[in-house]
Amino acid sequence: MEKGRKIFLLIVVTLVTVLVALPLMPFSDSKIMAAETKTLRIGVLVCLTGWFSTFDTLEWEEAQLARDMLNERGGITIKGEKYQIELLAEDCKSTADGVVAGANKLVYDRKVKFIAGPAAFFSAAAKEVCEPEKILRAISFATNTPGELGGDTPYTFLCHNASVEHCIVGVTAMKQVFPKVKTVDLVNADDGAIPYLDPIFRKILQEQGVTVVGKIIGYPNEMVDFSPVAAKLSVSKTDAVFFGNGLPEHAAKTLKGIRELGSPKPVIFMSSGLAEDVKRIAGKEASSKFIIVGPMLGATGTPPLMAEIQKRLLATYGKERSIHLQIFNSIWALVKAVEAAQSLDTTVVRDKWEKLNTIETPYGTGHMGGQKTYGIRHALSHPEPYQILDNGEARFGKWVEVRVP
Amino acid sequence: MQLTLITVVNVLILSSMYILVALGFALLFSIMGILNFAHGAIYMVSGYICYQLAVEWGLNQWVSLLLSVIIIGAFGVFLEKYCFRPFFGNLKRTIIVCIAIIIILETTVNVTVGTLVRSLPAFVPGILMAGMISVSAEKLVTFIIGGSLLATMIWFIKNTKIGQQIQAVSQNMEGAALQGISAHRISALACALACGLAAVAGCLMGAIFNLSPFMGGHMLLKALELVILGGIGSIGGIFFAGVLIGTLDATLPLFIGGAASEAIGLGVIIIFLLFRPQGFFGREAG
Repeated sequence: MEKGRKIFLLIVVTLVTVLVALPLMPFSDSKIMAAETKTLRIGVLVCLTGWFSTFDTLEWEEAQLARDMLNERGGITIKGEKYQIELLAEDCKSTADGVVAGANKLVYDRKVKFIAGPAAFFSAAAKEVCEPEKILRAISFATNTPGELGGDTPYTFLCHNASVEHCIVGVTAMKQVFPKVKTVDLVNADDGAIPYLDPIFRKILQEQGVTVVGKIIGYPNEMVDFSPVAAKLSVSKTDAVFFGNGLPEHAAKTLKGIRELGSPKPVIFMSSGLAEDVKRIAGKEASSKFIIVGPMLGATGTPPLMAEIQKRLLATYGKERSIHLQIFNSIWALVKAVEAAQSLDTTVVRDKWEKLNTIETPYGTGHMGGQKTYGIRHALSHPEPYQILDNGEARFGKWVEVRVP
Repeated sequence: MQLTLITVVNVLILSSMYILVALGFALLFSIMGILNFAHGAIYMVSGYICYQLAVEWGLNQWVSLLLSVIIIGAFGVFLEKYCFRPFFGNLKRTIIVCIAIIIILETTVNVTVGTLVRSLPAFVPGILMAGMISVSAEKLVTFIIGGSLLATMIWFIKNTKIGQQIQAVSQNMEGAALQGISAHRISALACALACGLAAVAGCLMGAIFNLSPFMGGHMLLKALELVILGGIGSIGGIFFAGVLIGTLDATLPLFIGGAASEAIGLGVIIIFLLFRPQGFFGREAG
């Protein structure tokens, strides 16, 4: 009897304790329950090895900064639920096969529904994996080759100024800095895009009163010695060299070669990079009459978001580095679109994104467009600056407004 | 006329660059029978070592080149003892080891130094002009160094005691050992020499072009082309091979744009080998 009473008392005390403690337990707070953080996983296709890694490793660093900055700002809230951004990177190895392998891994193994990248002509390789699975892709650059961006890529959005937009910036810069230029040689990496870009570049230049002389001078992306290209350009009778898509080192070696052969003609490089990088390769002596598209640290008119990015990159990496922000823009715009749609369904996000007119980017206000240029209104164009390299010194040029038709 | 003159100069300069790059590879492959696929990666690392010494630490650039040659030469000795000697005669294993070395070196540089754009300052700044021709002083110096090293290597192999020992070991290792020649020591020396030559090429090319963790692959391909075209067993043959490939690479892009010029260049090499499989001066098999 005594034993029975003790057990009864024990049960009663336990019950009372539990009943009293329950209301005080965290999970009982509805507000805290609603704010429990989840993860929005975004796949990133970047070339961390191979010839394109000189560009894309910087992009990956900037992508991680985009993730950190978004998460510091509270991540993203969808229907009351908070999400922190998580990036899952796959190395494309600077090959189309690498892109396909990376895309397959992200889509089928890691089950992501949103992907940022890859850049340029690499993105066409991911189309066959991503589009059938309705993966929403935010690509960072386009070279207008089939399969990159168009009516057959309904789930793909271009989130940074690309070939056409950069050409507009480059031509505008050329007219501002070298107004007397009337004829140019056109140089472009032979990455399969030349037949598609040729008529577009010529048209944009013609609209500004500049004539392209002869055929586009193409070179393989892996080219090391640019002497033959420089030789052709130095004997040509044109006023300037208009360098299309390529890496800054391509343009730098061409500039160096032209100057070594005694040609003083201006070189306009419409792909983005840093003037100091070009100077490092071309050498101070050859660094003259050169324009390159891209932001510069501490330049006039830098938007606050970009200033913050530049400051943080400088603090992290300890040196001024070229700022591309292509994949940064892609991740940023993608997250903004998801937030606007208040859904993780890729079709819902796509439909909402198509209706947006503007998205704020580090470069300033970006405008959606591209129906005429790409055949689909999925391109985000934004203001972009240029830099001038002259007399061995780099200086800031101006900001150029860009609206892709 | 001006384009022709410029192209002639380009042919000479490019040929000498390729010969310089291929010299070390040829020494090991043609003479010692060691297929060192890591030659390109070693060439790349030496450029970065020179950059670290000259640009980051402020040493004299020529002294940095010399130190780079010594460091990479010592690495060559290590390579021979631990990577090539255990697998001597086994081509497949040697290739696997070389691939491993390439991946290790490229990844190490990629992770530690990064892919940020870098270039060595010119060893000899300035541009030399003569009539319609102008050429950068550093390319001219590279031309002179490349030619001198080739001539020196040919003389060394043929006329010095060590050179003859290298030839003896390459022809018959056991026979050479019976004559009192230390095959391992000679092999290590050849490797050190080959890596040292790669270092010279890496430092000079790092100033003419730019540095990248993946810059070795292209030059390894060129070295392989030169050695095969020149003929196995012939150091002198790489001179003619270098001139042929330099001519193709400097002239074809003038007429054929883009990647097609590289493809056609390789096509010409293949056709040549179909008619003369042993290359210019190689030994016929069998």
